[in-house]
Amino acid sequence: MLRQTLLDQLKHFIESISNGHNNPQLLTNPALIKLSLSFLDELPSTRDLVFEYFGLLAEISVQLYVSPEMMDQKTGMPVSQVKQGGNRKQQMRAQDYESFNMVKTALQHMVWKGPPAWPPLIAMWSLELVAKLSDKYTQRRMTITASCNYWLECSAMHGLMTLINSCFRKLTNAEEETCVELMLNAFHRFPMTFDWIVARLGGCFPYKIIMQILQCGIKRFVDDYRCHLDSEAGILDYMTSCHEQQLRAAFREMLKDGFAPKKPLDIAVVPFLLITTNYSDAILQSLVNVLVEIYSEDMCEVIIQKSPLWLSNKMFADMQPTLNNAVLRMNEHGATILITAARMAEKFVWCQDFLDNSMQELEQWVLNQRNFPLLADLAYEETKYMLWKSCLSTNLLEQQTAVRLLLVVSSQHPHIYYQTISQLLRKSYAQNPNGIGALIRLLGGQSGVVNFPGFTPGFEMVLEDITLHVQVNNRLPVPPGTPTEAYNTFSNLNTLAKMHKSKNVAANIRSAQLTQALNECLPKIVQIFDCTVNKLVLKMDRDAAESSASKFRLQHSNNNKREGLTTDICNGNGYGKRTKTEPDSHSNSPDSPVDDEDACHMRLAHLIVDLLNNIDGGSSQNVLRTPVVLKLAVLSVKYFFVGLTEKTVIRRAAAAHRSYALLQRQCSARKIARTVCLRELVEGALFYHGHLLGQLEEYKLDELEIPEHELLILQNLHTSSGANSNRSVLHSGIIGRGLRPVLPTNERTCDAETQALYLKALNACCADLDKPNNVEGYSLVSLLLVELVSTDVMYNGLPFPDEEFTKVTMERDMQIRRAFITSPVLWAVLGLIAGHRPALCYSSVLLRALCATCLHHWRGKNVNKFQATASNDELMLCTKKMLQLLAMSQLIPPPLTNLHLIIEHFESAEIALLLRECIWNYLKDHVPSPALFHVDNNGLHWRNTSLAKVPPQYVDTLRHLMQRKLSKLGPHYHQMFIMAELMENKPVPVAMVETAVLPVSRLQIVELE
Amino acid sequence: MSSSENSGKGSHRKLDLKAENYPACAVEALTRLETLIASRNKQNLVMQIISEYIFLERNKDGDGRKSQSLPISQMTLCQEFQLIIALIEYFSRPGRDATRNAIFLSLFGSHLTPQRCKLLSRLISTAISGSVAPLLSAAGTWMQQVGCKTPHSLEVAQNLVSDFILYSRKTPEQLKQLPMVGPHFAANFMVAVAELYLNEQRSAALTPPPDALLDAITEWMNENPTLCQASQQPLILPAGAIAMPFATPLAGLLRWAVLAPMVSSRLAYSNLHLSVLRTLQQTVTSGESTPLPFQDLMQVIKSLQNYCARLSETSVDPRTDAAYQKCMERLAQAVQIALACNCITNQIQLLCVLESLPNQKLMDIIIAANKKL
Repeated sequence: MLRQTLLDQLKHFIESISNGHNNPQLLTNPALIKLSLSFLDELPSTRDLVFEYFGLLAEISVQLYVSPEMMDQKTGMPVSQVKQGGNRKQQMRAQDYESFNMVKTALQHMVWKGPPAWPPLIAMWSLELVAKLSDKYTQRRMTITASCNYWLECSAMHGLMTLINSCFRKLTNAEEETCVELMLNAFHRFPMTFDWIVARLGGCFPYKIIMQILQCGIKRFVDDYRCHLDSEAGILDYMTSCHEQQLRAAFREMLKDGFAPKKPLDIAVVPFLLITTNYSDAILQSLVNVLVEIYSEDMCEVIIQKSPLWLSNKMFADMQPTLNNAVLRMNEHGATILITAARMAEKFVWCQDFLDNSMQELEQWVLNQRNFPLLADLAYEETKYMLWKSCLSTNLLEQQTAVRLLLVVSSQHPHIYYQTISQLLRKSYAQNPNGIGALIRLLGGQSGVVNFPGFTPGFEMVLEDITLHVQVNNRLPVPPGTPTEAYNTFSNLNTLAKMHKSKNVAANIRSAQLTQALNECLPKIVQIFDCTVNKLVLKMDRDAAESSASKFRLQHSNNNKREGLTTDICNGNGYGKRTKTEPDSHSNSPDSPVDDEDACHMRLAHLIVDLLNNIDGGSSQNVLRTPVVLKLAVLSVKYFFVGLTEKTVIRRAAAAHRSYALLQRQCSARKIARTVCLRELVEGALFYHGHLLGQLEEYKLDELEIPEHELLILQNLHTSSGANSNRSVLHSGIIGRGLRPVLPTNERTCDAETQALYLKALNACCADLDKPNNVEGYSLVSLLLVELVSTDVMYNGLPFPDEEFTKVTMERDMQIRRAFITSPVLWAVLGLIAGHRPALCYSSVLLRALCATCLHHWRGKNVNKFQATASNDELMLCTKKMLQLLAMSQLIPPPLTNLHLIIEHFESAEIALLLRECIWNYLKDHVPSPALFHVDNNGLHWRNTSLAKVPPQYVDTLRHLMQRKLSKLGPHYHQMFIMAELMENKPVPVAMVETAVLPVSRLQIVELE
Repeated sequence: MSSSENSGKGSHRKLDLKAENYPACAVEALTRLETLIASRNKQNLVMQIISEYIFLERNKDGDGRKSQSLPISQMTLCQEFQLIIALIEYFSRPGRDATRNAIFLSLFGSHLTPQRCKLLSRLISTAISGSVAPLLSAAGTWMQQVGCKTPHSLEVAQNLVSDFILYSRKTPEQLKQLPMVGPHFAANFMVAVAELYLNEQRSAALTPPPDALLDAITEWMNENPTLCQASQQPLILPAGAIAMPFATPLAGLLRWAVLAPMVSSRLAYSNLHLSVLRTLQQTVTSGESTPLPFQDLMQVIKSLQNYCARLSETSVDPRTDAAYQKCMERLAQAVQIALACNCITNQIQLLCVLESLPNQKLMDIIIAANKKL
């Protein structure tokens, strides 16, 4: 039964091992290895011995690995794959070097397939062995990663690590504990050489290892605060790459103790963790992540309360400088930390210090163009949003910190700068002025940084955004009264522009750039303006249409009731009576959403115009493309008209003044703008927006129920010849249809206020700031009036023809006259022109038409039975106004200039006579043209009436008629004839009647001067 | 060092008895011991030689007799195995059993340091692997003399279990044949092993034996019905030595069989139970000791009581608990057979204790039947 062979084998084995110390080749004999492996099964009692032998094998391999003998001659690195490379000598040692592989394979097989008792045994044995070998053969201190790379190249070490790894996977919980303990014990024994093993193997049970490493670090730290924690920190750093979650969990656990210390060790937790962060960025990052996660106000209290405890640790007291650098090392949550500190800085001085130092450091780094992790954090989307939020904060420190951070990141990522500008412009509003403060600081840029991004793209971005907003109706319901983003933006831009104008802040915001940038964005602004104003215009037109419709209906029903009762066409009681321009028929409650929206648009429009004024938009300094120029001109005029619908006088005036500035700047800058502005203004007053200026609506002809083909004007086209052909307009009706319906009473006469505003607008367009006497603009208005009022291209010349010839043009003349009735503002416009001689000359045709029709009407009155003319009769008023105009514009000389004062005292026949003899004939002979006027040195046109004596045939009629009514007109007569003659003939008194020289009326002298 | 001079005996001051040429000196020492062991008054010298030349032990402070601390051996693993080989070779040589047992007892009987104990375990393990019958026989005697349930015996048993069961992929042939090679040792080994597992006195929870171990023991019992009586064979001891009372593994194995249903439902336990019952039936009770001592049975009953207490804590009625029923059934069977074979000493006391347990049908019947007697 004696198993002699087995015992013999054992004997042989023991002999080999005992002799093998001097002869490694004996030990690495494959037969011996095989024998040893068989012992594991056959002779279990030799297990320890066999493992000792395996340890020897591993050591031989490691020895070879580190020995210079096995060094690759070229690279100086150990030869890892000896079989492929290496010289002959090295190849001979290959067997020794690789001998452990066989063991490794067998043991691994044992771990995977064998009984569960093996893995813990093998794990512990391998750990011990690795620790021993690593300690024995490490020649110099290396970083963990370098150690890993170095040792894992060695086949035996690699094999052992693989073995340990596979063992760990097979362990139960209790066995794991033992292994961790073993590992840490080894670590305590060889802290310098075992760290890489812990780091490498820690991944098998990361949490346990991390926790244990931290615990043992803290113990050392408590014992000696100056101790070096390189190994601990190294392990943690290495493990962080894969096991950050566990590290965070461990930190969380430790901080829990640190903030509520129970044991004396707990006091050191916070100082220890902070010290550890000095060793590695990854650890710092993890700690910060945890801190940010668990941070709360309460925690802050705790920290303050507990900090004296920590300060008892000497190291902690000296740590400040390292902490400052810490923020720069974070690539996550760095901004959060800084902002949080800024929030608290008001309360705690140390926060302020921390913040100051960190920010200074940060900006210094940016100036030096160094790269650092915090920059990456700042460039994150989330951080960006957070910083934006902080920019709007009421806490100044927080806001300024956010702005500084944004500036820092902007130098590298311009898009963030643009987005921030856009964001701040949109989100800051009057109630929260902090945003605008932030914006101003932001626009100032980062001093010292070259190529800092400009802000034009930012403005463009926000304007583009708003364009979308304005163009697409906002579907989301907004609570009434909230300012829209568009409003905010323009309000903010406006504030900025205003600041730029005021000199004391201009230095701080790159002011020149600002205006320039905004002017570059002008097309976009104009686009938004366009949208806004057009909405308002649409709304205004709609309102006007509704109100006039309702009014017409009302009148229509009145007409039906009081049939046959005719009212005067124009009773002239309009002046001085204020009527509201806004419709009253559908007075919405002011809070209704539609009104609110319109009010919003209105406010926005005001703001935009303000902005344009503040940045001198459209002035000659800036280059603009013609379409933009034209658009801006048109819009400016539209805005003016829209402004007239504002509800109070003051607002109307304010709006008008804004538009004056706008108009004036454009018109003096570009001729084309003036042309367009004036045309728009006049057209608007006559056609599109006449209702604002008291235009009398002629309702649709359909209301008259005249069939299309029976329209008189069409009929007349057929009967272009014949005695009555040109008189058809005088017919008072159509056979079969009864009398023509009278024009509706013009209740809405032109409001004096709006009229004044309108005239000022015209004036703003026409006035030339450089040459105050330039009448070009007024002439343009005059010509425009002719073009728009006179319907015919024929006979539009300046000269007055024979009175007989008026029959030819009578129909047109009537229409012109009618235009003056429906648009009373025409009188005012003519009045304005009259003041700027010789501009009125170009409107000669209008004057002619007025004169002709008046003459005709007065004569017609004469034909019928006598009618007393009321002083406010339309005909009389028209005559008076016409005379006034002629007098003002110096087209008629004195004493005819006074005619309008006395005309009402004459009979209708006399009036007709006067108009024909004095006015018409005079004008016929003295064509109203610029040639009548002299230009003086100042460029002022005027007519020296004292020189141009009126031939008596034009005045005699008047004189005779006046003499007949001397009782009434005595004073006038004296002034008109006698005074003038007296003055004229003072040196040589002559018979005064014939040689009467027309005096210059005092009024006119004053005006001319 | 100095101790060799202290002995004052010129007879063993020989060249080859030097610690430097190790394995040889141990062999030499052994042959000398053979002669020395016979004389009673040279025990001290014997112990000294063993310590110095066989185990290479040194006292830390250099003075062996005065120091209370255990001597430290400086053997390497290699030397240990050299010694093991030497011992095996020595025991394999023909010789008187009594002397050999005496030497074995001298080597490992008293002053058993942890190192020596470890070496003993390795020695026996190697002997089992190598089927060295004489050594196993000596080991069997050692075990009985030291006591099967003493810590040293248990340690040896534990190490053997590790070697042959825990760390082996399949049960080795040598272990299976152990009852044939060394029945006496096998029986004593069983006593020790039985003590290790399913024993509430050793650990709080009941640890079942490894499956392979259970299978091996069941096989032994099945194939060698008389194995349990092997320990009853008289010991061959040197003159004047007193033989220690033998122990049978029956009580321990019965505990396994009875308590097993609480932790395991393996079929092997039924087989084991059957073997135990058969063996009981065949037992010839001698006067001095019984195969089922009352204390062992009380230990079983105590475990059952604890189990019942745990059950009632979780408010489970033991009468409905299948495991408990099975335990009681097995216990009842064993008790009945034991009573029939007259293996139990305090019958009345036992029955009273059994009655206090939550009742079980079979047990009730047995109690009732035996009470009448």
